[in-house]
Amino acid sequence: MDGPDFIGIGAMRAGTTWLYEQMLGHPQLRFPAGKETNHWTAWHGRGVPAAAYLRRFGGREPGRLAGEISPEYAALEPGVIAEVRRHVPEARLFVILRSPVERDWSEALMTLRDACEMEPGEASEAWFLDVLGSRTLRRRGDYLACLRAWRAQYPPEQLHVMLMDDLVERPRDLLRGLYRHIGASEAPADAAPEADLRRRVNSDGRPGRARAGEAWPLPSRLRAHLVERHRGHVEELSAELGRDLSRWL
Amino acid sequence: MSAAGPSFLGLGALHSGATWLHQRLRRHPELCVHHVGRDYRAWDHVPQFALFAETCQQRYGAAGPGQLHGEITSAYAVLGPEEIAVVRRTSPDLRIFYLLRNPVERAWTAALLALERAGMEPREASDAWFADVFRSRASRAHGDYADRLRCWGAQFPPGRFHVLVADDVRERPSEALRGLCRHLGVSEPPATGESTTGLEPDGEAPLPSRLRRVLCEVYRDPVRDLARELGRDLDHWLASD
Repeated sequence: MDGPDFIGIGAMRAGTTWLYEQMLGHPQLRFPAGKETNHWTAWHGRGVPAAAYLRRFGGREPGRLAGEISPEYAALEPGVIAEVRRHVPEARLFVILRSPVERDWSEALMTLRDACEMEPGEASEAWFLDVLGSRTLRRRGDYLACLRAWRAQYPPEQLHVMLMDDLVERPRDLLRGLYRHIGASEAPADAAPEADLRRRVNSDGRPGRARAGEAWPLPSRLRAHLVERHRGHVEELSAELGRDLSRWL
Repeated sequence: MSAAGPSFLGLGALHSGATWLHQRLRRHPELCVHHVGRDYRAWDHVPQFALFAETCQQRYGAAGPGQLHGEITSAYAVLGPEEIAVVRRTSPDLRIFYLLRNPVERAWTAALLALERAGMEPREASDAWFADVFRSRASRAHGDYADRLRCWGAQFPPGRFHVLVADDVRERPSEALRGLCRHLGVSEPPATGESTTGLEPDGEAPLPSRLRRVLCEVYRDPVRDLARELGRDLDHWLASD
């Protein structure tokens, strides 16, 4: 049987490349199509059949699990998530969440640099407000809506929720929990050298310091705007996950 | 002629007709032409300039005997001086042609593409959003053709350049093609009626007058600079609606 055993659904700009790099070192895990196939965001809507997606993971290999991490999946429309469920009902899902304020800002900087070839100093507050206010970006940052849409299709225990705060503070525990969830051995998390766990990875897979603009500080007025936007979601999410997320605001 | 490098390069401004030109040149029996997409950045794929020749060798291995090989892309127009120097070392006898389009229109097309890449709808971007994009260093560099010509001109002598202005290609396509073939040193194609289908961007949203005014301001000096450089009047590029 073809198809992924596990799917990382996001969130975008929240540490999925770090997760991928760590998982690549796990002998039981395979990424036959690379980190991201983006099938359900980019190809499904263009009529590429699900069978083509399933084939990208190859046949089953005894003792090994295949999957992908496409960070834009978290914000899929409910109808598309239903399609995912129809084709891969058994896949183990996971998502990693970061302060939505920081996530939104990181995506805005990526838009600035990659989509518009601009430097942070060239964009006015109005430019950032337009980007931060776009429907797509807002949907990606509304974790509560995203989680509810996925949980409407998959049983809650099939979707493992992680926090980027734990990636920074307790990366080994975070990996153990992830491997347990997808049914892989936890041993590689125990054996990983501390330096590897603390290594920063950029979204293009390169280790090292942030790319130009990535570390541009979020101006206080825009921060206040984003905090107000996310306050309600974050408080609800905090209650739902049973974690104190007040530092995100 | 270098064994490894291309014989000619087409530097095209965005939507200046590079695809249209490629479709015509690829039929020419004496030419082997590659059209590389606008998002192609040669130096992302060739992290060390010294590998450029090797990449060219792989790419142009398929050229038949007696064929000139080369490529057209908008990505090359904005190469920096060091990169252009590598191109010269790789292909010292290179012939270059530069496809130019009204920079006001070019910037509008580029901003719409940026919006699409950002996952935004046009109605989600205010005039301020567009104005910031128009005034950014990268956007202006793409439309400052005279400066680009000077950058390439610092490495290659004037006889190696041929400038094709999109207005001329649109109005007299056969003549433009024949002029280019003369520049490349290959046989001129027969003077048949040449279709201009594909020269204009399809279904592009019209540029609003207030944003046109912003762009005309941004490109006033670069257009006049280019007009002096080419010895022709280009004031119509800066005309408002």
